[in-house]
Amino acid sequence: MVGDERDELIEQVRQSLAPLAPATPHAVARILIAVATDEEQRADGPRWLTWVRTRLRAPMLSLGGAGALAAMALTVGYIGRGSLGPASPALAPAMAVQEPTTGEGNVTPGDVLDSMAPLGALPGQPTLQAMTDEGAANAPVVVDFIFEGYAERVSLVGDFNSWSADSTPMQRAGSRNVWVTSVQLVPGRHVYAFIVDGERWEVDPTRPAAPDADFGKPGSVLLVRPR
Amino acid sequence: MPQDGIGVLDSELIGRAVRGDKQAFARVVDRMYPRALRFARQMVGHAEDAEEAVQDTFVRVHRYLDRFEQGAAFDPWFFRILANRCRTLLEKRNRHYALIDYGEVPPDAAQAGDPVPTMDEFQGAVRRVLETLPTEQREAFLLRHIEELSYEDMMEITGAGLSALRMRVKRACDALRLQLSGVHHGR
Repeated sequence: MVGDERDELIEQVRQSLAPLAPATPHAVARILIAVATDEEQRADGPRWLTWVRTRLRAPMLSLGGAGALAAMALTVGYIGRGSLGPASPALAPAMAVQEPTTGEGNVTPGDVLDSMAPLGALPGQPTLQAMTDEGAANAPVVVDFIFEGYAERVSLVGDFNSWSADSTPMQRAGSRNVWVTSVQLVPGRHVYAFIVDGERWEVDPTRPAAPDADFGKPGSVLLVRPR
Repeated sequence: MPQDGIGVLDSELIGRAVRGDKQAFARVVDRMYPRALRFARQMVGHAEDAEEAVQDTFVRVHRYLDRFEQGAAFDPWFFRILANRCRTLLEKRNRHYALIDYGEVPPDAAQAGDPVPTMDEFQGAVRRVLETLPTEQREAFLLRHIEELSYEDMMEITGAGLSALRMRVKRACDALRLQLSGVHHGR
């Protein structure tokens, strides 16, 4: 096939450069988010929300050291585009929540993009239902948060980190607009929000708003189910 | 050659993606991403820029899928977009990239006293040489010897003629031979 110019040294060069690393679920998800965002930006249809759903296989996201946090997971999130209001015209936040599942949760990247349609069960695939494991009812659950939006820095705040803007900085996930972080949360109800560029407070409009803004500012409610 | 199904796309999957099947497109991403990232990293020499180029490529692939001629070979079409993105990135960011992702490479790897460099050292030396090549030579070498594409496909990807491509590959090989002659790696 390609033997015409190849001698021993070139073959060694080829062998040193040829190995491939499989695509990580997170890498594929990031691309699919970008594709969906582009599709929305070009569409004349609804401009606000697109749901993204995927289940990620352990080990989970390596970004921010989260790779060590192996967990079967169900990720639910959204990406949005458009105006969030006058204060943040270019912002499009996203949040992804892992909830525990049982079994392998074999996630194909197709699950991600397919679920950009309105939420519904995938044929032959587990649904958004989080399953429980009584043996680990109180075990912390790894939760991934993904924020989609233009920013210089983003941090996650919530009752789990005493609403500290410095405790949980988010990491850029390769793309300029996608920020991720992973935290371990005990099962139960949590309230959270994002702080963008150190000053702009953003909630997740796809999650229930917390009626009891315990930090004096609005928040979004996340229910972490036991493993 | 593609390994373990990576980079292997059947026409049926491509056809479904072209017809708007999002699951199929996601599988295209899953299968092509490793090859795309490998090529982009070796072209631009910087991990984050490579990821940006790959992401831009898939966005464009998705955007223009309806222009893809069904039944045609996907690789040339895909790599044409990817190579364009890499070239654009390199032109836009005319700066020197440190090979931060390629491990510790002694600056004098080619003259190192160790008679049997490790694979990492050899790989690092290879990448250093690649970085010194003109963009079109590096691109031609990678397409030919790493992606193992035919010259016909390369002509479609680069828009260059056959003789020019052969010359680029030859010059790239000559440069690698010259600069790596003392850096054969021990397996």
